[in-house]
Amino acid sequence: MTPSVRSRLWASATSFALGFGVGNYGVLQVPRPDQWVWIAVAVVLMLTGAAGVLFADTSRAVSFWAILGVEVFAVFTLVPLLWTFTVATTPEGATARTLLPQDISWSAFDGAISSGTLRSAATTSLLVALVATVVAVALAVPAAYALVRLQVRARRLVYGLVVAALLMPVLALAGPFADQLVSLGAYGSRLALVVPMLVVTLPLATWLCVTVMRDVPWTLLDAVRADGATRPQQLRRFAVPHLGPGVVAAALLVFVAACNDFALGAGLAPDRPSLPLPATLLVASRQVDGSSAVAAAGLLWLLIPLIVLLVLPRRINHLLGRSYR
Amino acid sequence: MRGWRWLAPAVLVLLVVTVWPIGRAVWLSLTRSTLTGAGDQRFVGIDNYTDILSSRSWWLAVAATLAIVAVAVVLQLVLGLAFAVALRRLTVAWPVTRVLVLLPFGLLAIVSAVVWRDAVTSGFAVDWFGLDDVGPTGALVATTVGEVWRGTGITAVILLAGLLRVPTTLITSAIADGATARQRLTRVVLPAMAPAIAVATTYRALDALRILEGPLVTDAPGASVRTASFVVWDTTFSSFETGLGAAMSVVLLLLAGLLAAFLVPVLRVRRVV
Amino acid sequence: MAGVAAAAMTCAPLAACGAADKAVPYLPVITWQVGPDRVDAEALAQTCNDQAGGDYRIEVEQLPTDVSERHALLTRRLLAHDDSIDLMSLDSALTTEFAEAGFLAPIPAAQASALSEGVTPAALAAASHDGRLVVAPWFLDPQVLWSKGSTAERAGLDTTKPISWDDLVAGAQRLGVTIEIEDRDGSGLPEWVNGLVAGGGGSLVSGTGRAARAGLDSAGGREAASIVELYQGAGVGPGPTADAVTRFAGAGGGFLVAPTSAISDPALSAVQADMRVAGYPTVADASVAPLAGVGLAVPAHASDLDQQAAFTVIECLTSPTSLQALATVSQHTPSRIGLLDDPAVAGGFRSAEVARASATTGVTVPAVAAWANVVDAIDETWRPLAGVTQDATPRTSQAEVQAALDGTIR
Repeated sequence: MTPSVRSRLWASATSFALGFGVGNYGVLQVPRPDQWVWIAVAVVLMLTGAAGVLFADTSRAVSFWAILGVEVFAVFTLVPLLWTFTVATTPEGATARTLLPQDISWSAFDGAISSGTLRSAATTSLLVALVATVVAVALAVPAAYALVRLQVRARRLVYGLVVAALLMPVLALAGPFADQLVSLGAYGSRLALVVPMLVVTLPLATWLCVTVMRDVPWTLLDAVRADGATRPQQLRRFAVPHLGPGVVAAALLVFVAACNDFALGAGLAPDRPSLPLPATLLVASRQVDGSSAVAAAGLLWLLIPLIVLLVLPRRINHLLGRSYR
Repeated sequence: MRGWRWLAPAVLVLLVVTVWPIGRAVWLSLTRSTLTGAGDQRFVGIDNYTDILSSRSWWLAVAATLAIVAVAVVLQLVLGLAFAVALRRLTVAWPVTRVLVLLPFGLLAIVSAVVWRDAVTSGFAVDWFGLDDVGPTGALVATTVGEVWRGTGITAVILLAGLLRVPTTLITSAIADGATARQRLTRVVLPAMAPAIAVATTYRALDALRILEGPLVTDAPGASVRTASFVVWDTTFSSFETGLGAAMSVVLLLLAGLLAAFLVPVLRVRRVV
Repeated sequence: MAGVAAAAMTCAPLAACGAADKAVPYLPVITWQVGPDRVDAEALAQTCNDQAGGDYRIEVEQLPTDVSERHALLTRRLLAHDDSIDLMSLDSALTTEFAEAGFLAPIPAAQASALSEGVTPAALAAASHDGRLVVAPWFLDPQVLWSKGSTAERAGLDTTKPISWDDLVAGAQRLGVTIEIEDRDGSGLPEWVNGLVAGGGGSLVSGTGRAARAGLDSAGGREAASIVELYQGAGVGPGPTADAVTRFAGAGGGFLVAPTSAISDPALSAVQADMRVAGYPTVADASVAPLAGVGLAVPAHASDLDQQAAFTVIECLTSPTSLQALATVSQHTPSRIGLLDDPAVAGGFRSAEVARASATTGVTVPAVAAWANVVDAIDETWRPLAGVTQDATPRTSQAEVQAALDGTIR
């Protein structure tokens, strides 16, 4: 028996045992209709086990451990999302008690879309995030260029500062910022949120742009320059195709992060219209049928990162993975 | 120093938006003051700090926070590593998994906290696992699991990037040398991935330190477990005691600094531009 | 919105408009932020709007029910100089904090004397700061003991004399009925504790500002804790709850400790006619009822024009007609207590005699800026009620309340 066959058989056995356990627990402990979820998961796992035995000595490079892992990953990721959907579609006055939606009602989605409070909160979030992202990226691109390409003294110090700002608990700055805004008389204005929001966007933008810059084929720029290209030509032939996509992906990530910031927005804004969406959802969660409204608004808001992910899936994964390295 | 011309604007803005509020926090922390200005505002020296550092409830909150950080990081690393290994091998599924893996991270933390709380207080988990009135502590545990769920995907992405940097030749030669799967993992893959794991640990730890939404939606009068971030929030934005809150903020920043100062040399985090 | 809406006045010939523009009558829109009291604010606003002709228009906006959320939201809005507040129904407990923070516009001297005329000393004190009237006194409800039908007699209680907590609990236990305690907005427990401590001869907080001292670790505090312990141990009710009124109306309900206004609650419509009133239960000998109410306040940040209009609105809302509606419809005890003698009110107000007596003997919450934090401290240390003991609770609670007053970590 070759190692890969043995590995597949082990994977099958694990998968089968796991499926057997899940199926039994589901049948014995879980009431309907959620029982079907458990049974479905059990069936998939046991089928994986069976397939692993059947194709144990295939010559193709298939790893049943990987298949099992991806199945667990899918369940792990999707169950909470399904639950969020169930909470969001629970009819008014009812409480969701099962994972599978019992009685789908779209009223919470309607409410989230037509609610003036949530709309103005979303506008605030998008507006503040947009301005803070534009400013941050405009500052971050040259800074990252300098960090990667130019001889700068104290380069490591600057980079350390960026990472420190990226990782510090932003909440600690919310109190002093709020106090400052109150004494300036600017507390409660939408634009006053932009400056504090730079604490979130600027380090993130710089950090991501450094990765973008590191992946750029700079020799090409030298070649373009050697060809005697003018500045606009350098821009068109080098910067736009090689820098552009990376910077756009970084900007989108920064934008999403700024949209999703909670601590600063919740601390620095009093109420509508300047309270950003995440903080508004905290207020909404305490009201009657609040969970449905929060879940519905959260799923709608999830469309922003989803679109970003769908447009540039490879680049986003690459950028995030490489940035952490 | 041509480079500084490019760098200066960003560094200046970054310093202004971080050093200014931190300075203000230090100044405020030496006073007894409220956000509204009600009550007399006066200079109290280091009273706020002695008060915090000698408070049992503060250290309990810090301990709870550190416990949450430890559990969250370990779970995210283990799950993230398992998923990263699986995702790497199953290349056919990449178009789907690439989106799926980052989706939880895109969901607002406040939404995740609310639905995870509901799951154990009134939702499906009550029936599934026979839970009976989990209380604020149980709800806090649930929201922490929710945070683990949100962060596992991004951890997997970091580790996957680290995994992809392990040279395949190294693994094939290990196989040729007759190394078992476990030997390959402990002798080849993990050492080559060490930098990625170190970075993931540090970043996820400091991210877990600032969890605020879960504690906010699960708190109830008399709750026995509170986190440091929650106490800072409550003091600053519910009690409006800005002076005391600022002192807590400074201590929280120091705590984050200490955590980083502990993790960076221990894990040998190396990341030079 | 405090916008100024131009009255409908068309001005077709452009040439003639220049001078006429200044003469266009402006209609200030006064946004009135109201709390969860039982006042039918819409109806009152409508009456005043009709009376005012075109001087102003009141729009009612609801604040959160929960006292902490309401406090936080109002504070944040006032800090932000939110122009959607022109007039607020301000909880009497928040007067000191908001006055100290400079949130409240001073009441014009010309109006102050009229507003304080005939107002009970307690209500006047709850509307004043540093000896000056900062809020227009409106109503200050004493809590009373409501019972259904002949429950009190059957429990062996003489409602003509003050009933002690001991007798009340024993009577309810004998009959197998509950003593519900109303807590509409989360301030029920602190008000209860405050009333019990005062009834026991102590005071929850003495002094003012940062020099204020908590008085729970005292004979009065222990007395208060012993009554909570007695109540809890007898199993005669869940303590202060939001649905106390509904539970009282139900089969097991016997007594209801609640403000005078409770009887106007729609949930009580079935038993309303059959409800009797008695004075607040006594701790030692005297009945010291918790007093809580609402005053009308104008934010300091509003423009002069809006402030002017808001004070005109206050004039209307504190007029005898409005106060009559307040007393007869929503059964709130007007701060101008003499109104209860008005023949138009006498027939419609259900608890006049008890209310009149309690309004002078009752106790408001202490006038300290940190009251909102004291509420949290008491919630933190007196809940769950099952954990309250007269040996431990006064001491632990003393420390927390003192910390809240000092602004130190709890």
